[in-house]
Amino acid sequence: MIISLYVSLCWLLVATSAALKTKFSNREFSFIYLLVAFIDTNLYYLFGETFHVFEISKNPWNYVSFSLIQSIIIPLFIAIMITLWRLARSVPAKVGVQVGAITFIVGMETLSFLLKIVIYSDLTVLCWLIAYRLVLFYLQFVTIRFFRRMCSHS
Amino acid sequence: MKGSIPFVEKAFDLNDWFVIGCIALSYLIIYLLPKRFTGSVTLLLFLFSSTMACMLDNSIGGHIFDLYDIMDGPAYTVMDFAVYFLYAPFGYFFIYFYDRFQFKGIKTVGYILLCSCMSIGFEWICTLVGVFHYKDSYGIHYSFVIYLLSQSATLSFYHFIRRETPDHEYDERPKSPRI
Repeated sequence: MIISLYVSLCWLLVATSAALKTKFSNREFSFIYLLVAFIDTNLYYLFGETFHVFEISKNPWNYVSFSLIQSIIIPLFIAIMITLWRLARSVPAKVGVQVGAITFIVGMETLSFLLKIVIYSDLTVLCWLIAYRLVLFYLQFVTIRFFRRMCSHS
Repeated sequence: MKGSIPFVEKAFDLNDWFVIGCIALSYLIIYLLPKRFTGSVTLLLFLFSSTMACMLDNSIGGHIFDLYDIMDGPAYTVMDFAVYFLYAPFGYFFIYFYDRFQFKGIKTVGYILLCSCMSIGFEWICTLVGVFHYKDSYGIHYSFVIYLLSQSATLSFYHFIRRETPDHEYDERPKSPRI
């Protein structure tokens, strides 16, 4: 059941990206996706395997779900939201994108905890993980500016 | 939070020198080669190769699947992380020569096969010096399949990012009045 949920979510995000493809810049979208996937995959494994902040589930389906979250769902979602934010012209639209992004990130992290994909007992860990994801999200607003500057100079 | 990230797992020996030497040499070759791509395309090619490698290593190479170890053992060290900087130039070289020789049609298939064989050769050397350690069920022939797929993906990615012209996409969008 858990794996179906996350595979469906992957499909939804991939389909959304494909549907919005004409509105996106291929390079900007790829840059955000790859950067988030690189940072997220490395840091999350570092937190789990080296620092033992939490335990990653040993159930194979949960572990595949975990890999999907790290490598596809979160990076793709952040790439979509950053691009939508850049496309949004009005303040309410920009606020809507931000609220949607924060809600999704908090929801995903809480769901991982409730479904025991990442295992920990201390709820402060949940707060730290949400904070980490939000920092990762907001960091992309900065990196994309540098990337755009780099593109316009090349 | 327990523990810290070690620099190496056992000792700084042959495999660590090999990785550092290869990284230095490959980036030197990139620096010396005539430039073919813009900075953004180069950065994306680097990022794509490193990210793909990191996703694969952290999914099939670790935790419950644990098909192989990188460097000295299963622990995540700084030198494990450094290996990702070695994948990036190889992705770049792969696209560089593809673009340089303008392969099309069946020649592209041959080029991917040739590069996969060369990658297997390099991985075999890496295994000899102790960069990779295969576990019981994993063999180098599995890597060949992974190289075929990852190099095809790199090529598709290159075509994907090449499709947009920088001057068209990266001009600042016209500012419209906000509501």
